[in-house]
Amino acid sequence: MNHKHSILFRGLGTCMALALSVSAQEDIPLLTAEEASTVQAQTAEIFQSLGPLVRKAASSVVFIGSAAPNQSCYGAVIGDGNQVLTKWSEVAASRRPLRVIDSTGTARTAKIEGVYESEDLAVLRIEGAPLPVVNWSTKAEPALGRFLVAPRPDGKAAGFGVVSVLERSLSEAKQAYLGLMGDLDYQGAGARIRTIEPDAGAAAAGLKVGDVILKVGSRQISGLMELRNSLNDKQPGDRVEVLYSRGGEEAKVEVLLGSRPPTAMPTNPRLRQMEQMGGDISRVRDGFSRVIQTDMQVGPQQCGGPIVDLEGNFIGLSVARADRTRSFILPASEVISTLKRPATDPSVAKVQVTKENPMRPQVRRGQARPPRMAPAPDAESIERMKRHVQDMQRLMDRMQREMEGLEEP
Amino acid sequence: MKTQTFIPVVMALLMGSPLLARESVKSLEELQALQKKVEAVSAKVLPATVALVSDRTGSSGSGVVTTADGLILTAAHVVQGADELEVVFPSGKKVNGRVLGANFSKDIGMVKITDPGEWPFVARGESKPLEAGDWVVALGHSAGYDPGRTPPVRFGRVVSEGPGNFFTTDCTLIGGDSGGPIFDLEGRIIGVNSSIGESLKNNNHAGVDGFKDDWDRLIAGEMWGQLSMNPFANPEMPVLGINMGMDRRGKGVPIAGVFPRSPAAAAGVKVGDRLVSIDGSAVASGRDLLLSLAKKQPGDKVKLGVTRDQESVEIMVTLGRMDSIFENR
Repeated sequence: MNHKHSILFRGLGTCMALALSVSAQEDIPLLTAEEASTVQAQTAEIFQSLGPLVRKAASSVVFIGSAAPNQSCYGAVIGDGNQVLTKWSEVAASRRPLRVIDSTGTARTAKIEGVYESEDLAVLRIEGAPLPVVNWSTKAEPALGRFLVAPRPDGKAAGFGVVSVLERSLSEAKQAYLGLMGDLDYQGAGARIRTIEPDAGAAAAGLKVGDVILKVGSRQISGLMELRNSLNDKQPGDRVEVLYSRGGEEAKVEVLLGSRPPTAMPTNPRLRQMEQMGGDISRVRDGFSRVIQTDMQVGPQQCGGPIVDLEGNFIGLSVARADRTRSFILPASEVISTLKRPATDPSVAKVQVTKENPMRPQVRRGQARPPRMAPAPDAESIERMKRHVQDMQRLMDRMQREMEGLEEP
Repeated sequence: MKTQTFIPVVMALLMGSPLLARESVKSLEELQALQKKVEAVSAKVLPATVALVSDRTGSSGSGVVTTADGLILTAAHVVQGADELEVVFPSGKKVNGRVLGANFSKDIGMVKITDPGEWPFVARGESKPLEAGDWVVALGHSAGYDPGRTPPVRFGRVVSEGPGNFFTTDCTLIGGDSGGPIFDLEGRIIGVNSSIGESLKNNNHAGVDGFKDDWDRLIAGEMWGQLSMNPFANPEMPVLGINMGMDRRGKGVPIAGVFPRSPAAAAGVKVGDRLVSIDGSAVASGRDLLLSLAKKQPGDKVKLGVTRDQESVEIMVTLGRMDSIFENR
């Protein structure tokens, strides 16, 4: 991945490797040359078909380079054509003026004008003649499965993916909250209240510990997960009608929803390890007001630029590579509303780095593992798995040695 | 390549339509047509993609409902150690599930919803005809059930066939996706998510045809087989039933032994024969032979090119299973 970036930095506009090139044969033990060439040809076809679309969008995309190590990304031309919107954490470490390269290959100097810390965005001011600005499209929210492309300033695609999850908020402050904790041990229908926050909506409405919530609005609640899910289409400040049962009696109350308090999610070392299998992830990858989740495979240094759909609409800005399976896009509507807010001065703005698990184990390359959640498999199956992998390794090594031995005169 | 691919191809020709899975992407219009299918599949299959949560083991995997009365296909390692599971639909609706059977060698398992009701479900397709380049859509409750989002959709294609009933795609998977479904462009289940390697292109799925072969045993609640990432250690690995001699300078594999009552013995393979090709592809070494067998399945017919007394002979062999070879000894 770093290799590709260094190529981009040196020779923009020259022939570059496709972002989705086929991995080396060793990656997939049974990959045949025929399979590899089928997949590679298909990738080339996709990127060829995207060509006209991406070249058209490219004039509003820039590459941003910095003298700081691992600090570079893409940006979207906005405002008066001399402004660029990009990912703040990927340019923040630069103490010198940034170097911006536009779609004609011209280098310009740029400085950071303002920062939106919560969305990890920065607005740069670039020198020289104004560039064509991104025309943000807020027509309709892209459907599940819709194709998305990240154009590069050189007229090629940095990534291709689909809408994996529709728009949602990753900022707890923007998520609706009843003000209670459910009882995990409760087995019956509905969700039983285990603890309740004294001043929050549920308590103010008269709900008490031990009450069982049966309905939110018209929706029957089967358990805690459905209770939480039922608030997805609600905002803090909304009111919901709650049907509950207390001592066999059913009653209804109206609850004023608040904001979800920040919760420290327990980190699962095994999952953390898998998140980074397949490449680097962004340092800031959570807390965004609104995101579209995509399976687009881009590196942290390929974020910051605009995203287009197959009709060429600019549907949002690429804001993070979150893990092996997820990248996040800030939807166009959220980009527009963010830019209307006052920006923070870059001299005082901070990078809100996503908390890392300090106990993250080293990723050992090339070892196949079944993806599953904690707890980790029992010691016996780990041992069995290890033995199998070692057996296979030994077998392959031996065959290799035998073959090599035989090739020698 | 495999005999099984023949029938669907012929059917597609008779119906006057190209084989749908291999849609070409040579123009923007073709990409848009493909996108339309992926959108339709995503909307159709999402409601039937469930999370499977075990109270006892605390683990969370995925599965897919495949009958209206709530039969769920998943991976064997998702049901490992559990008798009962909570089945959670994307809406957060929670119902109870009972673990039926599992074949760990194929990493396939079944769960049945015990609550009465009619459930959203998706029909099964076929996995044996899959080839590199076939477009696929995978779902799963990545990182466990999350009430704040639906199970993420991932789009990709088959990258490699095998080992055995497994296949590899570039639909990226992570913990929690295990047992989650993968679909063809008609929105039929073609497999369940099983394992990953380091590469973004190394996401492995158990083929849905494995369920077909083991259906009655799984329904009956049998648990068998061994979880193995190593295709050569898998008891259900396809075999000829021969002992390989030392291969010489890339000129094929001498047959040093033939197991009694094995597929090779039944087909007339003899000690002293030299195996030089399999299905028309040259076999230069024992490694070539092992790798090409790993891409087949027990029951597949293969054409062996053999040199016997300086003459070329062709022998058709129906592959057997490694465990049955040893049982027959």
